[in-house]
Amino acid sequence: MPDRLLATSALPQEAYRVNGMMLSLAPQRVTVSIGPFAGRLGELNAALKKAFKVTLPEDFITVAGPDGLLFTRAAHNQWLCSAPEGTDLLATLSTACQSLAALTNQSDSRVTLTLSGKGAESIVAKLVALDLHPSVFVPGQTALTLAGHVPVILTRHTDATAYDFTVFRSLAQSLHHDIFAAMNGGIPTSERVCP
Amino acid sequence: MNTPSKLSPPKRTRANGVDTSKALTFTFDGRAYTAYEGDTLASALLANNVRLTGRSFKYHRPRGILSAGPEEPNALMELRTGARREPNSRATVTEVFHGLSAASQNRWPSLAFDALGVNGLLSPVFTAGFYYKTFMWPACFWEKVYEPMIRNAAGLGRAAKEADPDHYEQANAFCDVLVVGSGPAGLAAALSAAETGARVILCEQDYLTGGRLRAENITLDNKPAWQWGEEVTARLRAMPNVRLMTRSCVFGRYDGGTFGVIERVADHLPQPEENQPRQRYWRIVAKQCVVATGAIERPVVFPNNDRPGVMLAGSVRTYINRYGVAPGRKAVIYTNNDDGLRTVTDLYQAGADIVAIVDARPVPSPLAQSLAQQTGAFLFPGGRISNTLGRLGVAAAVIGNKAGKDQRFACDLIAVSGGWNPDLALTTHHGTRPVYNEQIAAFVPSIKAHDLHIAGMVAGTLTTRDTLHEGAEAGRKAAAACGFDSAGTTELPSAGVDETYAIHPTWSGIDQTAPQKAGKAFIDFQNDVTAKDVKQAAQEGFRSVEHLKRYTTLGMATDQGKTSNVNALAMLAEFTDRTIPETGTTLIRPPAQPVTLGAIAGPNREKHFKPTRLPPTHQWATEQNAVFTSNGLWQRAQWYPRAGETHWLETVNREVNTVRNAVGFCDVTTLGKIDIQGPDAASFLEKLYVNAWQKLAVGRARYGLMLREDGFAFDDGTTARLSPTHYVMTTTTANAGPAMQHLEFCHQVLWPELDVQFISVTDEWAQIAVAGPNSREVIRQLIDPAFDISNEAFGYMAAAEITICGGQQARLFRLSFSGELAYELAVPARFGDALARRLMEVGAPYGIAPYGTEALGVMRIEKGHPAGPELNGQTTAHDLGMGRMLSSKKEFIGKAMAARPALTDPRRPTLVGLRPVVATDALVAGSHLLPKGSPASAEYDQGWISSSAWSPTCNSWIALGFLSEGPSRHGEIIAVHNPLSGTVTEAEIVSPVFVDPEGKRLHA
Amino acid sequence: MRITCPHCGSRGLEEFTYRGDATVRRPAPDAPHDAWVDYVYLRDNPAGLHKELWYHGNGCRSWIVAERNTITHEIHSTRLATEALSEEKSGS
Repeated sequence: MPDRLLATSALPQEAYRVNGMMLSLAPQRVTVSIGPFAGRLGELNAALKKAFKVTLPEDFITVAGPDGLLFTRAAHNQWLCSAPEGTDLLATLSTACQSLAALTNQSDSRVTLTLSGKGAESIVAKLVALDLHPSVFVPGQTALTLAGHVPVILTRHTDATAYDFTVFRSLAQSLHHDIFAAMNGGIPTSERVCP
Repeated sequence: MNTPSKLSPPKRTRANGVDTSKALTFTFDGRAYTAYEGDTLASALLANNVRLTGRSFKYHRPRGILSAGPEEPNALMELRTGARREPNSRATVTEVFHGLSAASQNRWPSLAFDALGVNGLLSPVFTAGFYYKTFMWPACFWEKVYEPMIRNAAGLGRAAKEADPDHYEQANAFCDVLVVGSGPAGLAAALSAAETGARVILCEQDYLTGGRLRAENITLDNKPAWQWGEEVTARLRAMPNVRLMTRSCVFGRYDGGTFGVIERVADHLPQPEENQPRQRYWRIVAKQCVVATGAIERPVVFPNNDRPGVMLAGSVRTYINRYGVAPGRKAVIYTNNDDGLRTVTDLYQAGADIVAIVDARPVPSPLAQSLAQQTGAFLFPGGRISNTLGRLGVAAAVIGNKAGKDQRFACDLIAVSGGWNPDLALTTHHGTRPVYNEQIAAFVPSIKAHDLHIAGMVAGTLTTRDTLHEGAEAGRKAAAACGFDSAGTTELPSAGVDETYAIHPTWSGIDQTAPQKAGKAFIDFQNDVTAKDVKQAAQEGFRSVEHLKRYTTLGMATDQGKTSNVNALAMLAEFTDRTIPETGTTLIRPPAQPVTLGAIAGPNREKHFKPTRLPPTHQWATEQNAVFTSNGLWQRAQWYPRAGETHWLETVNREVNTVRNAVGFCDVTTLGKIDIQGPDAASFLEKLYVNAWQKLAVGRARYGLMLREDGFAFDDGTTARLSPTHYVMTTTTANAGPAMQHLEFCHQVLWPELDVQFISVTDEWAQIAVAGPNSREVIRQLIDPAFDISNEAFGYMAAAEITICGGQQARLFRLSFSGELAYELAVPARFGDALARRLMEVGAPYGIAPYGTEALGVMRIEKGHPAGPELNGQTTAHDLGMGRMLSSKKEFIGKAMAARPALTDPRRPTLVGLRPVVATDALVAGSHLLPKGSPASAEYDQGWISSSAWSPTCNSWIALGFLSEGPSRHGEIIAVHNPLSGTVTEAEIVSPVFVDPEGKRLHA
Repeated sequence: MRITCPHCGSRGLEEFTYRGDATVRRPAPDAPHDAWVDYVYLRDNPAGLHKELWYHGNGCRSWIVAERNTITHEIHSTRLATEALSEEKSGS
């Protein structure tokens, strides 16, 4: 019997610090996509409500369920549910969702880079053409957008100064380079640094 | 006068924009000079009595500084040296830094003595349309003689020969109100908008705010006006809802409230600080915009009006008031409006002699009279300057009085004002033509847009008081349009004096009745277009301003005619007996000012021109010394050279032989993978593919071909059924994105009633092809014992979810692109690297080796599988030899159009194999197929080669191609014509399947 | 240019892919050849308001019907293609 295969990270684990900001790899989580079948969203939400006391968010936000479960809207008709490493999420969701939705393992599809620190907003603004003013892109909000040329799921942490870039695994190194280059370029002098 | 006066530079007078306690040194044409912090290169040169700054483009005439702003046509410099050398930089907007090295352009061997100045003597031939008329024939001369000659003589500065060492950034910003320009109107607009709570961005191209407030000697609230500007700037800076961007030029207004802005982050430094970008390209999205870009003064057109020392009157005031530099000691003022007369006062107060005031207006101006009295200047009401004299700069002006009598006056400065043109650029970028306003003799914006407000001089409002009020009102309106409460009023300062303008247009200072002996009268200084050129163009029938522009090159230089266009079209109107509105004006396109290409590219250059996708085995392949190739965004291993291999073909042959004789593996993660689920998943596949899917058994895969709706092939791949309602589709690497878009279109737009869900799993699974006669044994080393992969249990096209290496979840497909017994093994991406390493270990006894995309390509040609070169968007299922796959029992995308007779005509070039008669004769993709012995001309063309390779298996060159009636011609010898090398090779038409046509290896 | 995605809000043009006329309808499988030629190749080119299909591929992957003025490039309205079509089918 051969040994188990060992996992490899798409990016080095160490954090990069520059200009008072930090870019780090978020802890790996298990992720499953939920795609409700035609006309079943209501039933599905009822089932999820029963199982996890949450429903799939209509807005592009992340809602938290029990046991570290997070539900994020990730397409016009899809959501991503993530949970801490070690959770048998596909089984948990299969039970909860019955056959009301397509469930697809996405744990290895994406990695999340976290950019934090004072001025992070101005670095995000170099890559993302979204209005990041806290009254517009509110803490906790998510956007499916482009960071430069790379598609990302951008999430603003609830503490407002940190951002998650969730990116396809194959593009992680490219995006990491782009964010790091933007961090190195510094905070524009005209920037209104978010308190 | 390039040699500066031996006298030390005069002491600066009090100035609002330079700090005379901070001296800097710079060089111009190798000579060192002193400047102060806040100086532009132009103000510093003037302060050092340097008047001659360059040679003109066509005639190499001596030129000096005309303006004090971005409109400058003359004083263009090369800045810096080496890789950072930048030509055509306007001295008037270049901030001097310590150590700046500037050089004049377009002169050889030196600025004061320029050999090509002889062009000036040849000027009778260099008239409008010269190039069009002269360099016409013989045609072959164009490329060999004319163009190199013109290129050698033309052009302004020299670009650096090295790559740009600086880096550039891009950034986005959003606001409610964008205010462009920080003169009185812009500051008032920004303040009033910001006071409502709106988010405001104020962009100023200059490094200081204030605009004309710094240029004029006027007061607001009994203080110098520039102080009010500084106070407001400080207030704006302190407001959390305001972003103030200086050194930031708004160069374009685009759709949907988007503006392009270049911020010069480090151009005022010797070089950017470490990691600092040189410039930043901003995309600003604004709900509302206030354009307060001010106005640009017009020169007056008169003979020899281009000598150094002729300067715009308003710019003279800028140099005096902002920089403390009087650009001359003995001045003549030539104006057709009261605003130009301000220069008399400012020069006089700065200690200059006012020699004469030439007031072109027919009615004598009381202001001119009183100023003449006050300064002791001669006054020429209704006069004109009929010539200027001086070798390398103005030494005298010849002034004609109302009666036409000329008189010569020694002077070193001629300050000219032909009136002010609103700086319209941003108001015409959407195609709205400006309209002519008789009262101020200028074009003003006509645009009516719900999100655009125009205030101040750009609107044709020329007094400080009105400008301030208009700005404040525009700011409030803009904020109100964004939903902010604009009820309050902004406190505005009171202007000191009533300003008057009273312009009477002087489009041409030339006496058209007098013989033109005096010399050239320039309109466009940068492209050396004269009044005579415009007249000639009009006489030759170029009556449209657009034609005039192209025929004379007027307004087509880097300054885009900022100081010349209106004078030219007014003159065209005169020459063609039309009014100015009848003649019309050209539209101004973005960019409003020159933009560095590097800033547009931003960080996306060289290796980072586009993002890179790395497959899970990339790190491992790097360790194996793989040579990589780009496949779309993906980096894939092309081949894996081993020690001792001297040529890539040697490596590829070895890799092919390894697969054909033992076992090899290749990362195929890059193929698009789409997880498809739902009750209607099978029906959905039926719509997408030409072939049938309902009956595909669970645990089986099938090859599928997709067409576009026009009946041509779109993409292909295998799709496996994992459960009755669950499929996993593969697409080609190149079409993964377009295929997803196609699926979404089919689902959302064409058949929304189908109950199906799909999501990309391309990145989820690391997928590795294991191919070769030993592949089953290798897979057996990995797969958990519960799974039977014997040929009987897991035959060709089987698919299963399995576990490997003691419980690792995986998927196994028995698919073959090479034609060998082969599998594709998929594991979650994080295990891809470990899987490659493990395959090397467990496969070693079976002779395993990795193979790259090149060997993959050779083997698929050997097996006759179509790929990108065959699925090129111009081939049909019939052409690909798959005509019979098209199901007649169901509907699918492309069915109706694929049935067009022309698309199934047997004469269409159809897939064949080709084998050269002499095995070592190379077949080259792109070669044409012709009947043997026929001439190599289009009428005999019967097809082409799409892919070719040296086949180590066949020990011959082989190729795939498309040939008219190909399938019925197997065995025929055909001519393969390569028009690039001019060679003809004979080849036999054969089946496209070169290896194992019966499929024995595949099914082994 | 900015396009308002009904799901995601105002986004830059670079997130979208243009397809073209949103008013053409796929003919029935057995429709005459001319109908198919019309559908696949023939397009009006109106000066003024035009309904167009755009794909928010670098966002939520929705297909969107945008009503755009081809003269001014102004986008007057955007709707999800699924909603616009289901309304059309229900005959309103």
